[in-house]
Formats: sequence, C-alpha cells, structure tokens
Amino acid sequence: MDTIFIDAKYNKEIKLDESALKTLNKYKKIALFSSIQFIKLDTVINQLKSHKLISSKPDRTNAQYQLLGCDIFHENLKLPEEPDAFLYIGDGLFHPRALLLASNKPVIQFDPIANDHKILARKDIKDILNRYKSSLMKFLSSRYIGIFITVKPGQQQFLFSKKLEKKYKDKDFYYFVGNNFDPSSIENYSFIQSWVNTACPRISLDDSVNYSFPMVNINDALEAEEVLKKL
Amino acid sequence: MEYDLELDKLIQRIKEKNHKRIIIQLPDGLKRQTQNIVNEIKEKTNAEVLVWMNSCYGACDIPLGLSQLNIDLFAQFGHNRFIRKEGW
Repeated sequence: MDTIFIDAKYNKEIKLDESALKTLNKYKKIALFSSIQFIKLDTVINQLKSHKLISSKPDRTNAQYQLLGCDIFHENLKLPEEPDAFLYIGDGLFHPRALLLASNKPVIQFDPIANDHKILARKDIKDILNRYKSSLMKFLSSRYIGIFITVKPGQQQFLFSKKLEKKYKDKDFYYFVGNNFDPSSIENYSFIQSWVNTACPRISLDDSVNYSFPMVNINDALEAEEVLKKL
Repeated sequence: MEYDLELDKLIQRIKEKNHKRIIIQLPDGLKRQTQNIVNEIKEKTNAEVLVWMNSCYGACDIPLGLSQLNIDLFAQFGHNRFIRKEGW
C-alpha cells in the first residue's frame, strides 16, 4: 500500500502580535517549537532576533522546530542548551502541555488563528502530575502488573516492555494487547493492581482523568524511583 | 481555508500510480473538510475514496487492517512521517 502524508500547513503569515512580543521580552533564551501545520516560522524568527533563539529537532520529528505530542521527556527535545522559556506556535493545548511535562520552564503559546497568546506553567498541569505521582507509587508497591501493548506499528513496544521483567523480579507481569486503549475493557481485569502503558504516553497523563486505576508509562516504570524524586 | 491541503499533490500521486481505491485519514480539526476533499479527488481522478472514521492522533496512529479492503493509497492529513524510536 502506498502512503502519503499531507502536512496541511497553515497558509497565512505567522506573526507575533505586540502583546506576545511584550511577554517574550521578559525572557532572553527562548526555545521555539511548533506543530507541522505552523512550521513556517521565518517571520517569528526574525521578530525574535534580539533574543537568543534555541532551535532543535526532537527525535521522531522531520523538521527543525517541530514538536510532537509524545515529546514529553526533556531528553527527547534535544535542546542544545536550556532556555528561559518555550514559545510554542499553534492552536490547542495538547502540544504546549507536552513542553510543560518535559520542563519546569514557562511555555508561551501563540495561536496564529486567534492571534492571541497564553502563558502556561507547570501549575496548570498540577492535577495530572499529582495523579501520575500516585500511579508511580502504586506501581512500585504492586505485585500484579498489566502491560498494555498496542498493535499500532508506530506505538508498539512489546520487546522494549520485556525490560520490566528483568528489572522487577518480584512482580508478576501480564501482557494485554489491543488496537486502542479502552479504560472500560481494562476494568474487567480486576486482579491487576497497576498498569504500564507502552502506547502513546499521553494516555497515562492527560487521559488519566477518564479512569480510576493507576497507569504509568513504560520508561517511567523502568526508572520509577528516580522519576518519583523529580515529580 | 486556512490550511493548504495539497490536493494537487495527492491527485498527482493517484494519477501517477494509477491508484483505484484510496483512503483518507483526517485529524479532528480537518474532518469538516471531508466532503470537499472527497469530491475533489473523485472529480479529478477515477479513484474510489474511502474515509477513515476514527482517531487520527498522529503519524503513529495509522489504521490497521486496510489490506482487507484492497486499498492502494493511504493518505493522512495534518501530520508528517514519524521516525520510530522505542522508549518514547
């Protein structure tokens, strides 16, 4: 089967308004990111030439400055140096929240369609982080662990998940396979005390408001004690 | 329309490869463009156009089982190629 991806790029000029520029003037080093739709950033880069602009290309992306929703781990951002703040160009909160999950630094989101900006901070995701912290503690104290594996090729991490068995020899791991994550189906397996998610990492974070069982991401489970100390 | 849907590029690919049956997948923000996209492809090619009804969270979220429907071309809008890496 032939495959084609259409970026569907925003076709108007992206230009920061005076209000956004005033906010950004509080920060010297700014790391710039965008979703692929808003990646035509020439004007924005020119507007920020008095700042130290930090540019990177995270691991799984195709373009400089591009951010994916799964870029929630600081090391994935591949930043050449630490910024004072992030500037995210695009609509919606999904991507800027990834930056909040990856860093303690403020995130200025500029929406080119609304021509408006928001200042986001770690406190805005406090509830998500508190739930996640509780899930990590529950994972460490649980014996019976369910591992969710998706068959979607882009998210399937079955072999990687086997590392858990080597690291936690006192736990019993059960592997559950599906297309999509469905909280209602997971609740049928009541013997499982804690879940590990190997699919999209946002399922265990943003989506945790939709379910009541503990679930953590595979790479956090592998370093649960260290991650807990940072949260 | 605020986004460039690059239908010319898609239509060119369909014609070049003589695709007979294609499926499009759109993120929620572009789903309202479905009718326009389907109609334009049908007008300009001989391809049958199907629409993936469910999620489109990213290039990591490609539908499974399309081979059952003998799809020649899969087109995802709103994302670009995903470079797979284990461990997120």
